[in-house]
Amino acid sequence: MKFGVFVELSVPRPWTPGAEREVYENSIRYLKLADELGFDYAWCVEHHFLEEYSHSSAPDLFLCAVARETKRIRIGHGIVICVPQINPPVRIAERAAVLDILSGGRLDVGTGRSSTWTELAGFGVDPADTKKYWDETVRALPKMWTQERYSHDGTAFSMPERAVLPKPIQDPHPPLWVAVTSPGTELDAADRGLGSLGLTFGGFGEQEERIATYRKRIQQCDPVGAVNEQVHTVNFMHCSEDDERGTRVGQRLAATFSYISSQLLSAREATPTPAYPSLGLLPQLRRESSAPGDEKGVPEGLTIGDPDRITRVLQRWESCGVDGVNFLMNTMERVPLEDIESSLRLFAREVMPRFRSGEPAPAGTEV
Amino acid sequence: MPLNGTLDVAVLGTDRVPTITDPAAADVTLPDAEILTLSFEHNHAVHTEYLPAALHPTVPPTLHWSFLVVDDGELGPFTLAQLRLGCRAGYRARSFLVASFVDNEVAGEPLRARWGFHAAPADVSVRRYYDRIEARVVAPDGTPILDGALVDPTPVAPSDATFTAALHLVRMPDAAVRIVQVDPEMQFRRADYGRPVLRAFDAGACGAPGLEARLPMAALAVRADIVLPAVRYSFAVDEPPQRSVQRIGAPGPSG
Repeated sequence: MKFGVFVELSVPRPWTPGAEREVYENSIRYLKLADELGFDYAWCVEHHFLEEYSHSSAPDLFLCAVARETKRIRIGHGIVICVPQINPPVRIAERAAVLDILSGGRLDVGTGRSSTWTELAGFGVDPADTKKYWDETVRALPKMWTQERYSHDGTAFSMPERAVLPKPIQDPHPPLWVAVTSPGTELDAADRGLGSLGLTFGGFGEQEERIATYRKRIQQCDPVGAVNEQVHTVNFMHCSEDDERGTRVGQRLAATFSYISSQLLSAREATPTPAYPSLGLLPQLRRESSAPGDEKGVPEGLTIGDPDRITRVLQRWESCGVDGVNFLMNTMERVPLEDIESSLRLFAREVMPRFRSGEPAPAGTEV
Repeated sequence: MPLNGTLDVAVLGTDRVPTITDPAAADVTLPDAEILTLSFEHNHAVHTEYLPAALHPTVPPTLHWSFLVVDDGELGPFTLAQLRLGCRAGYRARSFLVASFVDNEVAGEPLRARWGFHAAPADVSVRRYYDRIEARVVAPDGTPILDGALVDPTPVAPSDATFTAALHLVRMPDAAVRIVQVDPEMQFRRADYGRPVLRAFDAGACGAPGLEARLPMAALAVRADIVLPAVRYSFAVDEPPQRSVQRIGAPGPSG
């Protein structure tokens, strides 16, 4: 099982001078530690105009810094908003290729289309059009990376024949993923041969069924590029020797994330369109993280608490067919950096080895 | 954490804070009613000014003109116009009622007494044309308050229509100023989506000077059977709703 860390770069008010820099520097620091501890992925989101929730509008630049500070961890550029008014497809391909080169071929690209009115309207995008834009873009990227020259005449974009440069290091190209929030999007992923990057964790039963469908469907896919058959999900994580403390900090993390994300204006709330059948990631994550839980009130599937509890939860996810879990370690700076670092160390020492039998322990996991 | 409203409710006159005298009224059914909603982003300069401290503004700030046309039912025929601001009550998406106008005082009296609508008298009209649905609010002195429309209606699945519950600033029977939730239940029959247009909007006449409609968001017209439920909960104007919510008729916080 793979483990990753993803950052939103959320910046709480008051936005004092240096506050954003501190968030960026802290995030780089714990992603660097994650690399040293043997975590597999460092993901950074793309968002625009989402006050406090995420000040991560140029994740490729942030990830470039991460790539140069790390040696082994894969660099997750996602979710890249595949809407031409926000990111022209050629620019996505170009920036990703540069990131792949500068990371030494460690790039993964997550694709999506944004679920907020705030972002889409900010760029003049009609929410009803985003699914077709995403589809057209995701089919174009592998061709831009692998063909010597590329041309396109489409709905989302058109371009005359040009050499899209540079080319990525990875052969044939960086693995491609799609953000899965609404039920059914995992089918879109499977049909195109894309990895399923679940941005909600859902209940075990629901996920198991969706993963089984994905695995079956991807066998008959018409791939847009190299097939990336993987299912990853997202989770809140705080690991502590003291289960009470780990649970308390983790629940505070989940509650804060849910509160700040619930303030955002979703595309579906703003305009009636079948292109957004659900309210998207944010309300769903809130529901999941506040669902009735075990005897301690911890919702099913949440990776918070002591190593034993987190291990049990991850084993359940693994048995559902999940290949990897990406952890949100902080939001709104609610968890001090030193607590994040100790949580990562403890996870790497006590939990990770139980899923990595036969693999050598990574450096730096000793206390 | 998110910004909070800065509205000073203490300085608001009785016209801005309707008194609920009969909050325990039963549900009222409004069969085959029409709702037209015109939504816009509004200017950031007043994004907290007209919201109580208990509420967070949406990002970006939004305003919604909503028209309810009732031809029949327990309250008789009436057309109600509401100006609301998009907000959050804790985690929940809501809209805060800033002003409302009604064309029939027979319905206006119970709308004020039971649900805390301002229901100020005005000529309120909604007219459906082939290519647009026009909506107007005209003050008794003939001054236009609102002139807008849904343009180019296109049928959409009723399941694509979403509405947020409204929050009303009211004086309770015990004279306390609180916020109540009005959350109609709707069985949609049809829905049309279109482009919202505003030709005239007198924000001052709505008690919200400086409020300006900016980016058009959406216009939605639905026909629905509506149940206007009795008001059941209230919460404080200056505390997070989850800390101060009370069941109406019950003595203390209910969590």
